[in-house]
Amino acid sequence: MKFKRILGFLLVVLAIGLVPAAAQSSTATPEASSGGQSLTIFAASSLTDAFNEIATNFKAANPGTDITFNYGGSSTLVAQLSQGAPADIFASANNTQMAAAQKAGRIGGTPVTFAKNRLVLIVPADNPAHIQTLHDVANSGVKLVVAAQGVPVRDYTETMLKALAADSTYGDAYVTAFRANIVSEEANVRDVSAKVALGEADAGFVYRTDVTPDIASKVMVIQIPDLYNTIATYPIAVTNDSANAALAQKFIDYIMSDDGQKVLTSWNFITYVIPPQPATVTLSATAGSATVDGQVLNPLTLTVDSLKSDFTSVTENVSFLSGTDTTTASFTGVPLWAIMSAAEPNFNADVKNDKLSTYLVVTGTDGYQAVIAWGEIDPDFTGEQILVAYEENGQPITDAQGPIRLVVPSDKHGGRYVSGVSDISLRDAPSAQK
Amino acid sequence: MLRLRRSKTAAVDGGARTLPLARWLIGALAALALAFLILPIFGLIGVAVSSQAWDEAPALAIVQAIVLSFATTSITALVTVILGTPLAYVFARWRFPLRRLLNILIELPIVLPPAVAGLGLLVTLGRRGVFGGELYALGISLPFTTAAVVVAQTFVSAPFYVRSAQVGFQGVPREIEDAARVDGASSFTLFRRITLPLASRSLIAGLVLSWARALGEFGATVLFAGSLQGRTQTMPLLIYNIFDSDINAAVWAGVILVGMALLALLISMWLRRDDTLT
Repeated sequence: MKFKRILGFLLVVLAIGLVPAAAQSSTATPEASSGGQSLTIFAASSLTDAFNEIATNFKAANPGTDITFNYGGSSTLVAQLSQGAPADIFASANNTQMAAAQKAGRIGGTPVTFAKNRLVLIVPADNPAHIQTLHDVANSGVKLVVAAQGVPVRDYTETMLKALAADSTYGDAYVTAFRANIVSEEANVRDVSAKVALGEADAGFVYRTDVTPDIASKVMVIQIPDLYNTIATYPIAVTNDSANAALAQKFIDYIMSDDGQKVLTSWNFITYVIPPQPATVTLSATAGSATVDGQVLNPLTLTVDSLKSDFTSVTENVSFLSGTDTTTASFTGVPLWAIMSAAEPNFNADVKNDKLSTYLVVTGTDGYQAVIAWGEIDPDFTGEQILVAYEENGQPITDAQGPIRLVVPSDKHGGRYVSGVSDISLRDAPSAQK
Repeated sequence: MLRLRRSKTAAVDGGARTLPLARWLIGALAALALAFLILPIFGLIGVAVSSQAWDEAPALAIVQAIVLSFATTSITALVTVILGTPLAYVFARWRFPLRRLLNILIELPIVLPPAVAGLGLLVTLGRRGVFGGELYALGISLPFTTAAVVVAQTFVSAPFYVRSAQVGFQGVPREIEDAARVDGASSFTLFRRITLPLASRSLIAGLVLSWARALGEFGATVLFAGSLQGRTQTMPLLIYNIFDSDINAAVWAGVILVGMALLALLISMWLRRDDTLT
């Protein structure tokens, strides 16, 4: 009898637990009407929220469509696909895993890039390990969580580590200490963000889109400088044996459309669309300041004060010909590379070495212009220390055109020393056509 | 009621009245069930042999995972015996209020999804858990440590031992104990010389089962302890981690686990040879 009473008690507990859950599910997604078509979509876990919203919109526009998602680490999804798991669409967090799915013979059409993403460092909101910069992650005792080998976000983390190892301010010692701090390698990126949001881990590397509204108040985001970061690209494709290939293609078309892209950008993804640049450059509206715009994700406005406070300045001793006289001076300013990194260039990751077909148009307040090719400032190529200077021989620059001046140390003539810099615009060379 | 039904079935089964068709059906279903239960294991072994999976297996990771699995499950077994034996004895012999309810709660981890177990451990013993602050004050931070693996394994596997040990203690005839007590045996001597030896087979069988369960622990470990080679990555976690990059290696690691689990099962069955059907 006692047992029955206990059983009854347990059933009541269970019922209390289930009522709100049932109420929630009945309001959230009404059952799709039977007889409609269905889609099974394998998608990288970082896409969870954006794809759920896109699916809701798509179902509203295509009544009777039933969409089932299988979210997971892209490498896990590829393993499932190559073992024959039924799917209509595969959306991967990098090209490597899409290529693996193609190699396994599971991809029908040509994959297209539909979104881009960036790596960020997250720490719990109360930041128990006092992490302020990328440097602090390697401090001893930091509990660092990353994704497992093969998961795209780990590949991007490794790319970052390679760049950090090559940089003298970090170096191999940093990477060694970084690796020693890893306490767990999670199966997918959302497990990483969950462990940081729970406060169990001190830091983790995730995509900026993983800082969803659910966890935004529980974590703090620390940006990774563009010098070390890479833009993650997300390819999508219909599988080779989709029972609903036409509907699957329709879903992909919707994602590529303005509406679909709007949902993705609302979840902090970077749209794959690179907007065309106007034929003119717009000079900074405020005197004494310069704008950084064009094909960048994060347009900036620079002033002498912001150059001093937001960046690390360097001093270069230069000599150049102006007319027939040789001018020798020492300029203090910020490397153009650091400024462009902060502006986050929006390169097309699908085009090989796309960055090398871009250039910077530097315009002075008087309309004087000079061009710097991307390869000139990129450390992988010429890597020249071109400066956006604000001091000459220790004194503020007093050019009539303005207080900011471009300094190109290796130039023989001073022609590209643009005075009164008002705009720096990243542009792409015209595309080739037959 | 239950016994009645069973005896009736037995009568039908044993008699010649059983229809040939029914026999066929039962036989076919049994064959299907048998195939379903053993084929995946043979599939695993077959694939491992045909692809020569051991050639490509990341030797170091597998060796580290085996060592870690053995070390953690051994400690788990030790903790289980030290804490589980008194618990089983108390529940087998003492009478106190809420005993039956508590007994159900003890066995709950057996049927609980391991992920729920891991979540429970995380919100209780994690850094931000109910007792996280107290543990931290003592300088203890469990998540992501090998200790967390042991905690997770003990939580999900100890009930198997406790249940079996309880049955064992209950099976020791009171008369023998009473006789020993009459002969002047102290409580401790009684337990050590009479109760323990008589219950030992159940104890060991339960321990082997709980060890096998600890060996296969995955869900609670991955949530509570994370996964790091050499520190928290036990065999099941290794398999999950490498199956998407190198399925052959995962298969090979799986075959090793199958062998270990089979061994545990055989030991357990041998110990209980009188209780079970041969």
